[in-house]
Amino acid sequence: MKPATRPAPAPAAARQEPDAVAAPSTKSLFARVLGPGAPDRHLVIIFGCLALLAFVPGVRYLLSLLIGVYIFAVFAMSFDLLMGFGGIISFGHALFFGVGTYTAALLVKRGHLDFWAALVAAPVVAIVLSLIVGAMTLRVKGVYFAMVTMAFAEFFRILAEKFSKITGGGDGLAVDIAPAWAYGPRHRIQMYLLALAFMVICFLALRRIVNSPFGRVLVAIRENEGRAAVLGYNVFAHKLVALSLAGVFAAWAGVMYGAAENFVVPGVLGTVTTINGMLMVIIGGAGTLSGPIVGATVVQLAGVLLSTYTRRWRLVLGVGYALVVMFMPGGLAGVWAKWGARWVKGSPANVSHQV
Amino acid sequence: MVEVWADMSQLELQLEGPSGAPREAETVLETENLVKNFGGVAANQGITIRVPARTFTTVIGPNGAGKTTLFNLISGVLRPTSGRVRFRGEDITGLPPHLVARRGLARSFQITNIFPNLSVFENLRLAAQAQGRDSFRLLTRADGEAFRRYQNTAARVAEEVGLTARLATPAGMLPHGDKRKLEIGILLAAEPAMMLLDEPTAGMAREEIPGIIALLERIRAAGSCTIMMVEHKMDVVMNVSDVIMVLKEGRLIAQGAPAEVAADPVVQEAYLGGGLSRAE
Repeated sequence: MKPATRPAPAPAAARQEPDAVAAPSTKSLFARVLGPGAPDRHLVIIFGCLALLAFVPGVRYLLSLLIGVYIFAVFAMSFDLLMGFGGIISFGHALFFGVGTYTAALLVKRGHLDFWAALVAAPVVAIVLSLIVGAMTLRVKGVYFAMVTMAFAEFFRILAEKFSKITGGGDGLAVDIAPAWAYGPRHRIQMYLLALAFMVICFLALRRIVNSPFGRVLVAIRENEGRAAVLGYNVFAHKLVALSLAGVFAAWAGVMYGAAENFVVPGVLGTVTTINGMLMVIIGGAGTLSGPIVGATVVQLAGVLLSTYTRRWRLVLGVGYALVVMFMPGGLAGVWAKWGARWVKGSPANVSHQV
Repeated sequence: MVEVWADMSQLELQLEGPSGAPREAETVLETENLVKNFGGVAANQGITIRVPARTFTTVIGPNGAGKTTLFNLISGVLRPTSGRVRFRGEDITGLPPHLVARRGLARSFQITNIFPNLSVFENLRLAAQAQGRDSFRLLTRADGEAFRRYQNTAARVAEEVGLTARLATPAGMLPHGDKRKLEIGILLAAEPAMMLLDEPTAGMAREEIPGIIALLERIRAAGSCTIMMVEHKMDVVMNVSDVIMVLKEGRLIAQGAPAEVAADPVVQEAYLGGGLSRAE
């Protein structure tokens, strides 16, 4: 049997060889400064300056703003682990944040335990909850998962409202959660440094996680779930672990929030909390860890600044959000990465990287 | 029906390992009366096959014959309505795809199925990592020393499929021919006992096909992997196959060595309508 012979094929001169697209982003400015492989001295400089800020006179108000930024940055990073890295869209991530706050508030108020006990207990509660929620919902896709997670968060918000004997109900619960030394005369500085340390630790931990074998699989699942399964990855188990991890970090953020506010209301479990986190991730740049930090800074500070000018600051924020989604799909971190890449590409040190 | 198994002894002689130890004619894959119904449509109607180790089997048949369905049933993507699948002596019927994959069965898809936004290297590295037990390790860098073996596998496979120059390129930006090479690379990186290739040359430019065939020949010559392939291009099929299986309307209507199948009047009438060499 002879195979069919064909005339020699025309030379492939017409076909474009897209050599030019060989990923230039491996050493962009962005990646160097805050990306996954960033040398740690950049981080030391950035975080060091933020720590020194605590001792600058006359910045008390800024410090209290930044405390909120750092705490919500952790919440946003935890959300991004799920959404940006895992491609799992939850509308109920506030569940874990709020449960963290309430765990801390109730342990301190009713259980007479302290902040550190809350830091241990909150993630345990978050893991248990995430396993229950995940086992029930992670097999359903997309919008159904989003809806069910939202229902769970709302359920717990209503619980917090109705069991007012324990939780204080809609009036909230005033409780000093932070460690005793954070209530001294220099309490704002101490709380600021605690929140900053908390964010730095969570950032470093999450950076390790997203660069670990597990983190890579999570991204693979986001990219092509079916292919990941046929390669041999248990997609469901990876999503469940991702949900638990995101829950743990969100719960820690919740504990810190309680410690910073000394007050807890059912709203911490509400949809507004979830949407705030989502805004921070998307404005900052999903799928990066520096993105949510930038996003948390923008959303928290913009909220405060805009609300001094107009009562309709949420509307302005909403328009800004729509513009980011339409024109900067990678968020602020994406823009930074693009500019950084362009800038670095033009510099002589990197000519060798160009194909 | 062509009787092919008589020829298998011949084949086994050729397949003796370099050590000279004769390899027994073990069966890698067996299916027993596989049936798959989609609503009222019977995509597979009782398919029973046996694939000996280290052979190259090609499944041919007109569109809608149930070739891809058969692959889906074997690889766990679909659950059979009835029937059994045995892989390396183990009943894997109804196992989810990731467990089938972990038992050493890798598959590719008719439509390119890669991680488009990840680099070529990462596509291959993920395929290698999937066979290990590290995918729940949380605090060690995936591209650090601890997991060097996955990176080595990825680099070696990239070399084998000729994508070394493209390692940093996002997979989605490769030209189509390179994407198909990457798909085969993803299978190789899993170091499987058997690979199912669903039309590996689909959509390829004519001049790129010999490269893919040469690659498949090399994989077969390496001798550790059983290959089963769905393919339409008859020159490819005739050149590389030890055994050809012909499906039509969900049934296996013939199987045998290429020349026998080509000469089989049932095949000619049912599928090819005359000489195989003209069929395309």
